[in-house]
Amino acid sequence: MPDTALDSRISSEPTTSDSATSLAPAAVPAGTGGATIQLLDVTKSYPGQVAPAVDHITLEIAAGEIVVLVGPSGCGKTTTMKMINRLIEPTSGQILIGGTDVLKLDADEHRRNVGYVIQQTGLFPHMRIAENIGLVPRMLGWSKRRTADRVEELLEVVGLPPGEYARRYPRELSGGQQQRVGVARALAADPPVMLMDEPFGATDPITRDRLQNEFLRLQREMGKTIVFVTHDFDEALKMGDRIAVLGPQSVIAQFDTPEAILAAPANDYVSSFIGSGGQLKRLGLMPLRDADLRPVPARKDLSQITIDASLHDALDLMLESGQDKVLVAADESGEGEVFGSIRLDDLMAAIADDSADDPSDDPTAKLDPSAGS
Amino acid sequence: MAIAIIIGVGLGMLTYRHPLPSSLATTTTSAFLTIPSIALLGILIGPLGLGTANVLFALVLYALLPITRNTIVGLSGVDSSIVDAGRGMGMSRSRLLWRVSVPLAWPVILSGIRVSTQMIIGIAAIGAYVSGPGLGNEIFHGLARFGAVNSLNQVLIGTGAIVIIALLFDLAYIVIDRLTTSRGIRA
Ligand SMILES: Nc1ncnc2c1ncn2[C@@H]1O[C@H](COP(=O)(O)OP(=O)(O)OP(=O)(O)O)[C@@H](O)[C@H]1O
Ligand SMILES: [Mg+2]
Repeated sequence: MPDTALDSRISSEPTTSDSATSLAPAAVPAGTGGATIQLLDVTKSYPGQVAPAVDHITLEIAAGEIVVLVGPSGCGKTTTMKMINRLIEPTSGQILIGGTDVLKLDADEHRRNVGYVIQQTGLFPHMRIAENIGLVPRMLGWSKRRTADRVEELLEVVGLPPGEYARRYPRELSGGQQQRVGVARALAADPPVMLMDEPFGATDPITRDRLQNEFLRLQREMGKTIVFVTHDFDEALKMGDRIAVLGPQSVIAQFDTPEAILAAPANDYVSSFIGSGGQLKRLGLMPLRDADLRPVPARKDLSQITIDASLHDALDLMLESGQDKVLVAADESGEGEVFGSIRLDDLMAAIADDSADDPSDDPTAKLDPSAGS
Repeated sequence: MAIAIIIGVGLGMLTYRHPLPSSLATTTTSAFLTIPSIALLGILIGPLGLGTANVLFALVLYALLPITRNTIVGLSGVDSSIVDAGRGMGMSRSRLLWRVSVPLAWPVILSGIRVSTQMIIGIAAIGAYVSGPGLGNEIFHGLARFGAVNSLNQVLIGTGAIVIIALLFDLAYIVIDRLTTSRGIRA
């Protein structure tokens, strides 16, 4: 199982998504990767409604990629997602997973191979945590022994010690813990594809942030293909390798990397969705780790920031300390190693630079497995 | 009682997902309930004659409403996000029904069964009127020779026994409820 080595690799990497070039499936560990998902000209009209809820959407998602569907309430995000596991049958169009037409598969069997996480967790209140997680493996015919081992492993992975939690009922867990169980349950049979509909929506900001970080760390190990729905653009920026900004009837306004969308919103609709502070958000996506640092200056009275932070955090610290440069160090305590410094001009240059060599010119490049490797 | 449970729960299961048949089922079963018991027993003499069959048939009809209605209410009250999650995990409709919906609706279904039982224990006594079996005979005999020696006692014994039986059944249901409802959903 791919997940056992997790804790040994607890992230020293930044928590924002990797840059566009590292998205190629080649980065995914062998054997655990996801499968491509293709929506081809898919439409859903609900009976009795004039306008279709989803109007001719075409969307290609590379193996091992997190694509976030973001858009206002009622724009058709959930409908689009549910067509992938056929909880909603498309009116027309084709859906392929790993090249297979899912509309030709047995719906129940197909769903067992697609992880599904929803905001309300949907845990079965009358079953213990272990039973909840073990359901899909059992339906797939796994032995009791193998299922039990897998359940234990997954509880460890999502940070709930099995000894303490396996025999509890859902109501005996906090909301955040229930969400983790929801994720564990979706991962149970190691499906190549996961659908997540506002999975962290019902939690407080701090818990959400932690769940997001943990999930991204997990995903770096697993390399699943993930469709993630949210209406929170900041969550989209954080979680998405690519983001599909959807307008009414699930019409794609822009489909690109977070960096590219912030740098060059396709139209006013996308801009309005980004809201104010788009450039600040771009800084937030740039890790200090990737920045060109200046040598450590002679002055010793500068504030210090950890190299795990983003350029946005560096700017924040400059504003806070009233100085136009800060030291970048292993940690904030002042005792760790100091790697260099960064100045306000550097931040401006980073923004200007990134816009100049805009990676959004060829959004399909990442779908080609040979790209970026 | 067992017959009523099977028909009632079955009817509920078949119809709860569709508004029209389920309201039809509740309306029909509640129509049975509005017929006075003596009248129904009398009407049934026609097709079923006097005796046990007649009483049994009447009791099943009366027991249906609370069971059917509670089954429908219980099953359709199961949180839609839970049903959604179950379907999304690839549970077939019947597996979802038996493994998820019925266990979750069980306390409600059981309380329907409990109300039914109480109700028909009372009505069963009247079954003696059409030569059915049971304690009702005591009461009717007593009433028939009212004023004679021990007649009042006979009525009281019959009535008391019925009350005690009803209480015992109720107690049994409380125990069954404890034993069959998951700890995860117990109040
Ligand atoms: N079962 C249904 N029957 C009829 N119309 C529906 C159904 N489900 C959704 N719709 C309609 O389809 C449109 C898209 O709904 P959908 O649930 O996909 O939106 P969403 O983008 O997920 O919104 P939210 O962010 O609020 O969850 C809405 O206008 C909604 O009213
Ligand atoms: Mg939705």
